[in-house]
Amino acid sequence: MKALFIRALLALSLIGAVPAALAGPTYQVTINAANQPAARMLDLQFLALGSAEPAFAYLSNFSGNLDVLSLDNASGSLADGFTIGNDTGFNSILFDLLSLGTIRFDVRFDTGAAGDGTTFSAALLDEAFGNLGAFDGDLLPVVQIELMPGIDDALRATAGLAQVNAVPEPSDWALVMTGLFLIGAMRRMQSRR
Amino acid sequence: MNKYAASPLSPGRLTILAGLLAGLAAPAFAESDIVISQVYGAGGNGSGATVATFKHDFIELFNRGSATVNIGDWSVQYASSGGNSWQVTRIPAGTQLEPGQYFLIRQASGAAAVPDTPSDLNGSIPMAGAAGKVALSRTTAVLSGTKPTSTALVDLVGYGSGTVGYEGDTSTASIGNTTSASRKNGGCVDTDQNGADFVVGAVNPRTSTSPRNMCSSGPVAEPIVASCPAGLAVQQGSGATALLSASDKDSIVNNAVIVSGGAPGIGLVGLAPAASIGGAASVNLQVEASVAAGSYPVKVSFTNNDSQEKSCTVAVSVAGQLSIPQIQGSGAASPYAGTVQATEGIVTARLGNSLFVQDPVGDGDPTTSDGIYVFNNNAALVEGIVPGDRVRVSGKVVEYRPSGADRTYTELTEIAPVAKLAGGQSVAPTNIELPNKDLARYEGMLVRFVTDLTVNQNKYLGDRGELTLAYGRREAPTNRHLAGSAEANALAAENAANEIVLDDGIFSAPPVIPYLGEDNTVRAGDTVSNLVGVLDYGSIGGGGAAFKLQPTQAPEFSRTNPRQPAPSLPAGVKVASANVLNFFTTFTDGKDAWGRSGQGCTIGSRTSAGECRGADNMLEFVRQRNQIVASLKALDADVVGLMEIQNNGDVATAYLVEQLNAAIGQPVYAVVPTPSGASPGTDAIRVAMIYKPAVVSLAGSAMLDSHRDNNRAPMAQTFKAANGARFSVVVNHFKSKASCGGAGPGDTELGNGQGCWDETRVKQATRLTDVFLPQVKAAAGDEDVLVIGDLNAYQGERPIQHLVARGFVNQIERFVRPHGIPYSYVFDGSSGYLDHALASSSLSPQVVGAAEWHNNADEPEHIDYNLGDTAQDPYREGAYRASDHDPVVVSLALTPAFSDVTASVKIARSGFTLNRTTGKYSGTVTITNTGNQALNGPLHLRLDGLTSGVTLDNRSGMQGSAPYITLPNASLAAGASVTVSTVFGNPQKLVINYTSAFVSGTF
Repeated sequence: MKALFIRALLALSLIGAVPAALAGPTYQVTINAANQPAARMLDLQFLALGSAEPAFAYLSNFSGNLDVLSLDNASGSLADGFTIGNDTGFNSILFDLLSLGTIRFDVRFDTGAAGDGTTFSAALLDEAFGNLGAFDGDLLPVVQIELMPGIDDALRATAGLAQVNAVPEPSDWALVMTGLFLIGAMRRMQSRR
Repeated sequence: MNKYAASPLSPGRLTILAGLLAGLAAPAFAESDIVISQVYGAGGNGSGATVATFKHDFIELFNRGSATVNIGDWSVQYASSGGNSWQVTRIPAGTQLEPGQYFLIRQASGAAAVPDTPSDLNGSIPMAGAAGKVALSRTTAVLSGTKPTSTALVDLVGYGSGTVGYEGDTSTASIGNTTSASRKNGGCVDTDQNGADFVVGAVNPRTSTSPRNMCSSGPVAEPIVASCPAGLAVQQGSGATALLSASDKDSIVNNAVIVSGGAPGIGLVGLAPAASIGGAASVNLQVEASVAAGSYPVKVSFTNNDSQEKSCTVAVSVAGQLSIPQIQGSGAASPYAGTVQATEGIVTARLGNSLFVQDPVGDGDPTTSDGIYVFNNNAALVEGIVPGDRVRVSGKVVEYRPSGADRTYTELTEIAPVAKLAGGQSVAPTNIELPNKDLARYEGMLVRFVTDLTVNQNKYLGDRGELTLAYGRREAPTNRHLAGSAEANALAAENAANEIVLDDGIFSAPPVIPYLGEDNTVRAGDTVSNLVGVLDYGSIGGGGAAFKLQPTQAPEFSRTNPRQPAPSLPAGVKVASANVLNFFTTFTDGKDAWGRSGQGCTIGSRTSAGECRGADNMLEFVRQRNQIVASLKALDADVVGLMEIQNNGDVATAYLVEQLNAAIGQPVYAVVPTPSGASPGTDAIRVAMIYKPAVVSLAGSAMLDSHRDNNRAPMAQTFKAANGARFSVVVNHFKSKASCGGAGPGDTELGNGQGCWDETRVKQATRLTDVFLPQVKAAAGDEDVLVIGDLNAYQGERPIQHLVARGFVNQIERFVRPHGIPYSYVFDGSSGYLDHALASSSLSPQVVGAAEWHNNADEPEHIDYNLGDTAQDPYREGAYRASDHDPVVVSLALTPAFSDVTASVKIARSGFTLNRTTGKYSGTVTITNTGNQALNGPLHLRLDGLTSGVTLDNRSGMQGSAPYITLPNASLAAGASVTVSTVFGNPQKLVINYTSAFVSGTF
């Protein structure tokens, strides 16, 4: 009985450690705008099909010399962070790059549990709103996070210009540690028998 | 007679007077008894019905005197009607003409192959056929002048109107190919007045060998004119008399005797000679009571005081006394036909002034009818006679054969007044049933049909009050069996024995159309009970004759075959064939659907309002149009092949579509356009097609085969269904079975049900299979063909058998036959289908249903749009009797060219990024095969219901209004995924929505 209880606890803790459907991990996005001398604007988008379930992008911890140019279906400030919904045809924050340098921010998502995906993107634009340094031709941005319900987020970034990394949450670390501890304990108990 | 002094106005006096006047006023014609007695100028002229009677022109001479005359070295001469140039034919020296003798001088001949003119002398003058002039001269010297005055001139005849040069006041009337001008009384009359002396009549050349015609010196005697009844009907034992009379304009009729045909007891009594010239003599022909029954052709001769004689014959018939079964006899005809008989019986029915009389007891012999029809149209002879009276009637027994009948009907005619012996009698009807090969044994009798009968034909209800009934519904023999087969012949015989025509007791167009029930109709297939009446026989609508029941009680009708809504078939593309009964937008009054006047219809290269075959005017047209529209709307087919629509390009078809769409309230139908340069044929009608563009689309242009074998060109169109499947529809209207004029070998009526033009229809079917269909299939790139239309042949006939032999599958036999007799048309009281649906062997497995909609063929003709064809107008607007043919509809569950396999995949659609410069939204779609089988390509992602204002820029194509992207993969293995990009143009930055469909196959 005791072993069964411990196994169940182990299963629960491991399941809990997997990123939840509605609250994903936090990603840190870094863009080295200095590598694109023509860059004048930073364009963050959060777009989906109308049939996608509601989702939100939460942006915070901005660093870099930025200023907000426009908000579409988005709210917030550089100091307090921003929230962007996915429920209109155009959801975006457009920043003025006051000087070229490294831009960094964190982004976290609440998404639907099923159905169509939502794509977060960050693009460097020139004066004429043309994309710069896109990783896949001129249509696409420098960073893209494709959120598809039921599968892992797909992260893409232009090498040498931008990167995107998941930032583990403290609670996640605690769950993982508990799980590892329990695995170790199980093995010890089994070896004693 | 010869009494110059008898009357101051006698013709003799006038003749002398005229002669004197002529002698004074006219050129002095030399005294002669030789005259020109006949002139004929059109020898060998003309052809056909008006061909000349004889090959040569001729001039006939005649000696009207009492002495022989030598006419040797005389001449006959001819000049044209207005001319003065005379041509001469010399009469050989020594030629003698005796009193009363003719002499024929033949002249030039014509080309026609007709008998040579007999002759005594041959000349060569070409005489004019209608008008000219001929002269007889004592010499051979050429005459001169338009009207010669030579002292040698013996006679001059100007013939034909307008001729200058004649004796007297006028020339003779004009003559022609079959007429000559002849001197009256065989040449005797000569008052020197051509106009009065000659008569124009049949050509009758007389030669010197013809019988002599001695002219008396005086005027012609007037004949005796006798007035006698043609017949005298006498009842044996009662005797009768008839009054005979005679008169003579120039004599006194003073005697009458029986010269033949008499018998003891038949004589003349009470002779009253005429009191004066021109007065009437009278006498009674008396037949005494003792004269034996029989026929006596009594010839009575009248004479006068000039020894003239005139006789007449009175058919005296003395009626015997026979029972009705004796009169009828057991054979096909009465043994007493032609005799006068008296009989007794009870009146079972009175139709007008005619009676049906029946012996209430009979003779116990079932082969002899106990009833008889007494034909009479004189009300006075049957005054007060009503059914139930016991009567004594006498009259002549005749075997009446109606026009076109193959048998006769025994009846009494020329009756004496009918004597009522008693009233309030009755006769029990004899029970009979159909089929019955020998209804003759009941002819004239009161009968009851013990079973319900079925209406088989109502075509002549409105104009004759007739319904053709049979036990059950009769099928046209070749609708079930091969034409000419023993089975077909047996069915024809069975049908012939299974018929009775229910009449309405009157022999003219009924002022009130009988037997109409609910919806003002009585449908073929309805049943009738309580059929009691007298068994008549006579002419029926459509020709020929049949046994007819004249009801004595009201028949009871049941709507056993109720009107049905349009057929409902299993899901599929619905293709219909509809004959629209001469739908013309141009009317016979020269107006058209748009109110224009002076319009016409074209047949071949001829255009006139007389060639229009549909509505006579706008009033009829609106009725016709509304019925056609209502029926097509109810039919609701996706493709409709039309027959009998006006051949005026696509005008009438476009009008019909416009009206149909207006009735539906939406532009549902469109015309299958006739390609420019294609001919729908040379008839006034054509075939056409309409379709629903929302259901099928046109694949390529229509094709028409206007080969000379087809005066109505078959029309083909390939369609593409929503599932990408292609199929071709070929609409046909083969040559009709009727209008046999000009039919050559193989096309003539053989009496086996095929009607006329079978060979021509076989040619049309052969042309279809061997030439046109291969062209259609090649153009379509698809073997699926549906042959529809009015093929004017039943399935057992050669044209249909040809198509079946070439692999076409008869869908009516397949789907309709199992449920009963298939029929789309009622002809001559039999049902069958002329309207077909035959599928190619590749298409047949995709046909999931076929049906006939009996909205037309079962309905009486008189409820259609036509006005004035019957006393009443039972028309009601709606889908019934919109045509004379029933439409046919088939449902095609076409094998899809592509299939929706969305259920076999999981489709994951990403969000978008927007390129602000280009305005494009980019995303991806990942398709994963979740099934356990590979999905075979070509594979397509189709975006259904894409938000309006948004376009899929990287589409491979459109299916309908939905864009699609064709995957590069040839197939998608089980469990495999493929991702495709989607790029949308969305200038308004709308929320993008669409439904994904994953499709395998070819659009």
